[in-house]
Amino acid sequence: MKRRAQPWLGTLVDVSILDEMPEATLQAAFQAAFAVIREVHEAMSFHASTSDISRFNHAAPGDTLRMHPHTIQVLTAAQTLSQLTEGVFDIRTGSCLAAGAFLPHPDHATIPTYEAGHQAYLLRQDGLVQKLRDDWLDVGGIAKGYAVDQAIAALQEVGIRNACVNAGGDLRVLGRHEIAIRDPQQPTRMAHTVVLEDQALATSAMYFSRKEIDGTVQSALFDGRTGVSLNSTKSYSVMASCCMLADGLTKFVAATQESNHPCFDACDAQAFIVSSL
Amino acid sequence: MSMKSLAPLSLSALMTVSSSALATQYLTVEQAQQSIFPDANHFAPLPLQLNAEQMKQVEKLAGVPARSVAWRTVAAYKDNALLGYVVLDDVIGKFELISYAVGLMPDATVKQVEILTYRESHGFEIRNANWRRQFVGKTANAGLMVGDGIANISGATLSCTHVTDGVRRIAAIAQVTLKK
Repeated sequence: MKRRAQPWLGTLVDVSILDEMPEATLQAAFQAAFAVIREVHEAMSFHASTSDISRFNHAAPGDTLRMHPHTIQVLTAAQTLSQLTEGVFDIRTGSCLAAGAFLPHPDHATIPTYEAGHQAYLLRQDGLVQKLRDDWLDVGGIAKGYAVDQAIAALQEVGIRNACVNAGGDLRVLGRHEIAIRDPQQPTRMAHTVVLEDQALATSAMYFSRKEIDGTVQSALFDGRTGVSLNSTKSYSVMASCCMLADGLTKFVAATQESNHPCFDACDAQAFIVSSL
Repeated sequence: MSMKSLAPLSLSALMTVSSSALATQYLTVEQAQQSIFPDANHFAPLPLQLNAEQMKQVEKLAGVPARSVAWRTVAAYKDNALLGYVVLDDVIGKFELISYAVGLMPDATVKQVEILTYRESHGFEIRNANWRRQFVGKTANAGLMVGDGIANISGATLSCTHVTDGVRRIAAIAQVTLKK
């Protein structure tokens, strides 16, 4: 197995390739995978002032923006997920993340107040994105999954059949792989393993982001129906054929504790909750 | 695929590795150098020493403490032409130790970052340098899982702020000391 990792998307992205191949082909495969991950990072980083997401957050309601096709795909999926999860999943919680200092506060601008049940943008027929209201978007809950899907597609294009792309815990495999899931009570230990075959697995939990703010424990996960931060000692995993959908749906399970909802069937996904070893 | 038909999802408890630490070796220093500068045919050590004034400049540029006076650096050449530099560093996070290599162009812009090794300790508490010694010379038999075993882990996203801060620091060091 050949394995490489680079820091992207605010985490370490790990690509492992198990096919036996000439060294030059392998290096080209790694390069192709990391190149597309970099594109996704640069288009959608909340931190980089030149990204599509930062430009959107800085724009005034009514402005129209041209965005990278990657961003358009993620914004399209975000709308679908928001509908399927009845508003639990909402990328407008960027303002909640900034207010809790889980994300930086760009240019010390006033953080918009989060109000449930609104659309922040319109994906226009002409390919432009129109900002509808003063909201900050953060696609951190879905873009890692999208980047993983794109990297897997890049590997397939160069003939790879046995590989894993893991963006800090959200992953997708080609071939059959055994994956370990962290114990939410003691995350440096592994609680379970699950076998994936040409599938994706994403997990959300609060153990790495939980902190105390004004006397209450908060995490970087927010319920889109209320804008309230989630606090739980469990972890929430979703298996699906697509890592972007798996990634997005983990937020639904975390907020609702429901692993049996029509949104899973719609995404060809299944959810499971891990409490501890 | 319906959720109901898959209700008894096969999750196996992982008793055997539950108390192990985890370590993944990605690249050796030599492999990282070659990956960052594939055209290079010669790498020469170029140890860097920062003076007090340079350390101040680095802190100002990077917005993080310069942390160390000495930095492990290698210059990459194709024949006699300088292609750039590779600076090596380790950072300690909440419970993980990461060794990485930063490739820089002669003008001090970052070309590529490669993780060399990733290691996790057993608990969250260990944050000092003694922690590094725990791993020296250890093998899979001594309680470390090496990357070829359990290949991948799913879990909450582990932030790598300490790596990105480290890369910013090294870019500033290159700016102050190496920039042509």
